[in-house]
Amino acid sequence: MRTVRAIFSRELKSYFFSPTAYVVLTGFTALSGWLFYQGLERFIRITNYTQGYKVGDQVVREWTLEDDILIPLFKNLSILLLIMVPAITMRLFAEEKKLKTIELLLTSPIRTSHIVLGKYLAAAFLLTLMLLPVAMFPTIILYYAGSNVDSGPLLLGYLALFLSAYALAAMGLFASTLSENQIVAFILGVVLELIFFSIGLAAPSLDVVHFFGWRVPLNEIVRDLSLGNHFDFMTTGLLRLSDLLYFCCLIVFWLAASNHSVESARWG
Amino acid sequence: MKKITQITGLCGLVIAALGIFARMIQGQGSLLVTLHLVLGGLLLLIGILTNLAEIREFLAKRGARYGTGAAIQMILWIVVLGMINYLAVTHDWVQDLTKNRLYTLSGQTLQVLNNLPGPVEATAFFQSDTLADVRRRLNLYTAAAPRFHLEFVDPDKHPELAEKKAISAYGTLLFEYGGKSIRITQHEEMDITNALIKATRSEEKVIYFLSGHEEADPGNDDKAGLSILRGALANQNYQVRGIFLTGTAVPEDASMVIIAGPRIPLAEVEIQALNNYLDRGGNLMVLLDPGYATNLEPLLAQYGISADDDVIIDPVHHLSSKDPFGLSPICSDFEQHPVTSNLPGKLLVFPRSRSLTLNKDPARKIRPMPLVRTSSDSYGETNRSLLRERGIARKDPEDLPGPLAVAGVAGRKIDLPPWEQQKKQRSELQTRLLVVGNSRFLRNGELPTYSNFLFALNGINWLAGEEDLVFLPGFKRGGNRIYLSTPQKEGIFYATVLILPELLMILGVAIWWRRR
Repeated sequence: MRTVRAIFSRELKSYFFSPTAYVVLTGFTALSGWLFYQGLERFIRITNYTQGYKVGDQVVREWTLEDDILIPLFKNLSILLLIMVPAITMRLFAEEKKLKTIELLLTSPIRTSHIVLGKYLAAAFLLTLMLLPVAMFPTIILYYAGSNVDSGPLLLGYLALFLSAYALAAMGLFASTLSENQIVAFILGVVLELIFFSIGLAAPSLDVVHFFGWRVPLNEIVRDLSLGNHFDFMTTGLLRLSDLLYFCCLIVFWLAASNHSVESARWG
Repeated sequence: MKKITQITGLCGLVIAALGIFARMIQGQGSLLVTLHLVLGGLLLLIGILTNLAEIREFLAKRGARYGTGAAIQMILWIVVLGMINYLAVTHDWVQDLTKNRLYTLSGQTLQVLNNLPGPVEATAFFQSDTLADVRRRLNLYTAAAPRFHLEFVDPDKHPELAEKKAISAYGTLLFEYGGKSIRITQHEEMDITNALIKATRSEEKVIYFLSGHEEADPGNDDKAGLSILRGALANQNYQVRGIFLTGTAVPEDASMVIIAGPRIPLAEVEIQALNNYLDRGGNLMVLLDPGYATNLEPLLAQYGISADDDVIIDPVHHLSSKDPFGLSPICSDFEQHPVTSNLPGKLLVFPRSRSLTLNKDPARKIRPMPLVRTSSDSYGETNRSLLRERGIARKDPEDLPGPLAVAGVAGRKIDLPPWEQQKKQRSELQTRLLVVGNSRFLRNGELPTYSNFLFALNGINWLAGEEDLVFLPGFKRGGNRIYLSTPQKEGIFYATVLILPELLMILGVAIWWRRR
């Protein structure tokens, strides 16, 4: 574990001694603050003259602070993560490759898995710092709206934001192992994350198919593979073991893939 | 030549992979797809056979060996993680963290699911990826009851199935049990559970509303009518019919007769018809407004119930906006009974009611029971003329002191003769009677007030012997608001959009400056 800690602190220092961390933290905080304020302002405006979402003359859903400010905010932030996370992870291996320091790392007695884990934990730590200020938004709502607010979906939505960030970081890390060019690593990361995030959108066009006698529910498989679907489910306020395991498995899989990708450089 | 065969092999790989992909998407084989698979396989085989030496040489390399090992390991990862996720999805552990348990089935629904007499086939004709909330709700039913079989069908993809089952609207839920089918397009828990009850029950119940005495009319949709109740009963799969009892008996198929606030006294022949009906094990709901003679008094007296000649006034607990005297008493005192089982903590309002007196007669095994009482601040004003003509309401010694019964039930068991026992496959019949000193609570104007709707449906379901039909609140989250003054809004804006990002930026610049 000492080697993991060494790699972790080395990566963290390089984040915080360069403008990267501050640019990311400032940008994300400002954007999330603006999105929150926009949502709040809009909510106050619409609740002044309508009770809820109407179909004809009938209100089919009343406006709520959870469904109309905070859960959409969490969803918007999860989309923002698709850009922010690769921006954080793109340099992790690509820079080492570019500067040829990867050879030093790989020829050192440190295990590849420790290098991967150390770098991943550093990126995850920075993402944690980035997401911590988001807690301020539900706190503001709870402070002013009091006990009327349903805190379950908010807590789970916030947890989903962290889990998504960690899963996307693992994918971004893998993308970074594929190229020595940080821009290429960034684009690869965005594409990979976008595929996993939005693959669920393909579900409606798929159906249960019978493949050589096997019943394959393609639509359900695609829906269960989608990060966006699991994120949406958590924001409803239902805590499911399958959602938690999905995020954990995603992290484990992409860290294993990153490990093999780095290892291939050692043996290739 | 070697190069061409290598390209041929690669082309074969691509064509075969596309063939497999197309086969999966299409779901069924076609000539073109089969051609892809055969041609791809053939080309791949040619590529492999003509380049065996090169392939062997490549595989002997260290990198290739590692690559193969890594690929196998990654496949193993996918299999293991895929299995973990599959098990998690099929044997999920779910915890509802919403404040009002929006995604937890009620105890009543679970009871219905546990008592399903056999496998119920449910088909949800939903377009793909629509009605996510309803899908979630239906999956709770599937998880709770192995006898509840659910299938989602997209009517756009399978129009033949929709046509076969006579589905005409997106979002239709079809329940099938023993050759009987129920279709609903409302998706609240109450709708789904009641549809299940209706699908699994053996007979269709008919409710008769007595006519001819200026009673409240189920077909009337103004404030004095009963159209809202009629709609709710139709949703619960009851048939609602009107009936005149002059010269005719109550039909055999009657589950109950409702007498909703008659203004004109019933004729002797009608009373006799009702008596005969009750002697056959019939069920009766009688709503009596103050100030009207109905000739029903002797019939009710047989069951130990008499309607007092008063009007209830509650100067403390009443709808203050609607009456200054307290003529609309609000009631929250309920006796424990199937009709009131889900009412504790709720309120009922009975505008312009008369009180009921309930007399037990142990000798005849008649034990009427008050269901709803007014508060102890209420009283029964017996001098109605003073109130009507001079607008004065005061508690006098001759007035009835509160709390007063405003609704009551009574019942009687009737032993069947042996030949009837064989015919009806039971040894006794149960007559049920529900009497309320008011008909307004059931009319369109007051039915939606407080929990009157719930009380009315509970009462009707109890009379029909359908206590298990449920009335449940919806799954929607209640609306809420946030009120902020202009300085508060500005404070939030500065804190979230400006101050926090600025602090982070200043911190970054300071560290960069120090290191420079």
